[in-house]
Amino acid sequence: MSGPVSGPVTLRLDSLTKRYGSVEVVADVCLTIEPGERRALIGPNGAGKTTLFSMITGRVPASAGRVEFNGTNITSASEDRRTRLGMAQTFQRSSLFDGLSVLDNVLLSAQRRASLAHRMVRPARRYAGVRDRAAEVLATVGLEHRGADLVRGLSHGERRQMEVALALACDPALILFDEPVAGLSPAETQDFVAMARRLPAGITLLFIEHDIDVVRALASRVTVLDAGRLLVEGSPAEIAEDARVAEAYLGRARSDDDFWDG
Amino acid sequence: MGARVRRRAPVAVLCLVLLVVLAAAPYTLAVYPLKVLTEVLIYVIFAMSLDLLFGYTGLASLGHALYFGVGGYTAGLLAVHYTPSALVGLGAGLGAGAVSAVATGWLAIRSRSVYFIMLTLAFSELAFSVATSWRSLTGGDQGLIGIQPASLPGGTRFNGVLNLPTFYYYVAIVAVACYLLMRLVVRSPFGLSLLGIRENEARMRSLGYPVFRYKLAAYVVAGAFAGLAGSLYVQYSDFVSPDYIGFELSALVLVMVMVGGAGTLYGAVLGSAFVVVLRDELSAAFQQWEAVLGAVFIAFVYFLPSGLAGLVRLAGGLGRGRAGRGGGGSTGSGPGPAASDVDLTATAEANR
Repeated sequence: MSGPVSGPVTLRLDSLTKRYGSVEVVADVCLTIEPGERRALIGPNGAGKTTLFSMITGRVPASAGRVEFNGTNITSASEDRRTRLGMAQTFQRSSLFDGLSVLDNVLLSAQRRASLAHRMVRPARRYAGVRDRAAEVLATVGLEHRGADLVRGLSHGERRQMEVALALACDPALILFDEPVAGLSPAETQDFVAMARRLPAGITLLFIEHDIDVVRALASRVTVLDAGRLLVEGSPAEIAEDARVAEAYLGRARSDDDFWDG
Repeated sequence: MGARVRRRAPVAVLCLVLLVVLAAAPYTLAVYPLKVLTEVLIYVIFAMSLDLLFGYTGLASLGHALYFGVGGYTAGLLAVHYTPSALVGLGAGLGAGAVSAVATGWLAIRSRSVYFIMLTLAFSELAFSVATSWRSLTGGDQGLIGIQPASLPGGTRFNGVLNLPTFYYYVAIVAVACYLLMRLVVRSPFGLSLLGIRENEARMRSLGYPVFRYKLAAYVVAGAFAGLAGSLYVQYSDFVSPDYIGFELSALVLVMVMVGGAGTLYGAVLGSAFVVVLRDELSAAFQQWEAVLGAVFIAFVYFLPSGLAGLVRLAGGLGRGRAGRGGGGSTGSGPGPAASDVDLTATAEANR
């Protein structure tokens, strides 16, 4: 299953490829992420970052290649199964349960994690363990005072916090953040960075981010994707020096601006 | 805690009053109104079962009468060929509703939105034509004849007029039990999961829910309660025909749920009472009563999309608002921890 070197790595991508017709959106990407690593995935618009994410989480099937999570081959596993195996994600455009309260949103995530979601008799709010966990997660993201409010009424920044809360309530081994600070104010961005730095060291993070300060503050390693291919990988300092990265961002920035992300 | 008790008290009193009214009905009502009330209670079960699917899970069905009819035919055939026992018929109706919902739901739930609606319609039309053409079993479009009067626990028989109060109590107890059971279900973790599917199915998947299984479970529970309602209705009318499966009944029960207010069980209760009484009054007065019912329905969709339940909530909200102001200062939007702690239970009540 895994390589002979050490125990299973958290995530291993092997020649992962996504084709739409003859267009290769993601081509032959190989990537290894160690447990506890904080990995940033960067690259110009249209580099295929979000598509790569979608193949890791199972929302989009891979055209070729292999995804391995904690030593298990999950290439053809469903999205919900991957989450049950310990993966969680947040979405670039927040995807929440708008008609439910903040607390119920988090309960949905926590009760599934506790394997109680199918129970039919006791009221959902009477499961003390699930409720405590939900309260704890809300406190972590700073929404503990909003529990009773409908998600529909939250601000953009609070919705981003909810995204994180839903992911954390899964007690994941790996969290994939898709542009977690997009559209946030500088103060909210600071809050997110501080929260992410407080996360237990055992949780592995993989995040797409354009804000270079956030990448510097959080990432232990950086992977650069360009035109669907893995361009270079290294420490944040190495990446900042790399001429190819600068060229990818600056050299073709004008033509790439027209494209949507992955 | 004090606030919580005070807020729940009026609801508890209301429930108690309702139970007393239900219990006293045979002593205060004449035969015809008691029959109407019995029919309403059966429709209440049927409408609540659809609400579980439509209001809570977000699955609009145009063929929910299929399970009502299957339950009805099952109870009817048992009463013709085997036993007049009401409880056996009830259990068989429930089981038949569940089994037919597994078989059809397993296929229908694979498709989404309009395709799902069309499949539910197709399955019920299929069953309708089977019920019409398989004359040796069902009696065709003449309906099933020879259904023995239901034998109630304690040995009394009900044949339309005789022992109506006993039959009424039997229906009322079953209806109240069904309400309590479904209330448990919608408040449970499973019920919350159904709300999650209604709100954002894709996100439920990414939270790790095997969504298909949850939808199928909801479909089967709804089918079981519909089958039970169908068997009760056949015991009530001593008759069953393909109309019990047909599109008109599916549409009528959907109207009940929407007029009452989808996503609240008590809305289904209000909606069934409203529609049955309206139907009786209108059909006595006009030939084209369905057109008037249609107009009423359109008015609801435009002016009161949250249904009668929305009206009740509005009234409750006004009462609560006045009480809050009496206590000094607004409590609704205060972000302080004390205020939000109280509000937590308030939204919980409004939501469920």
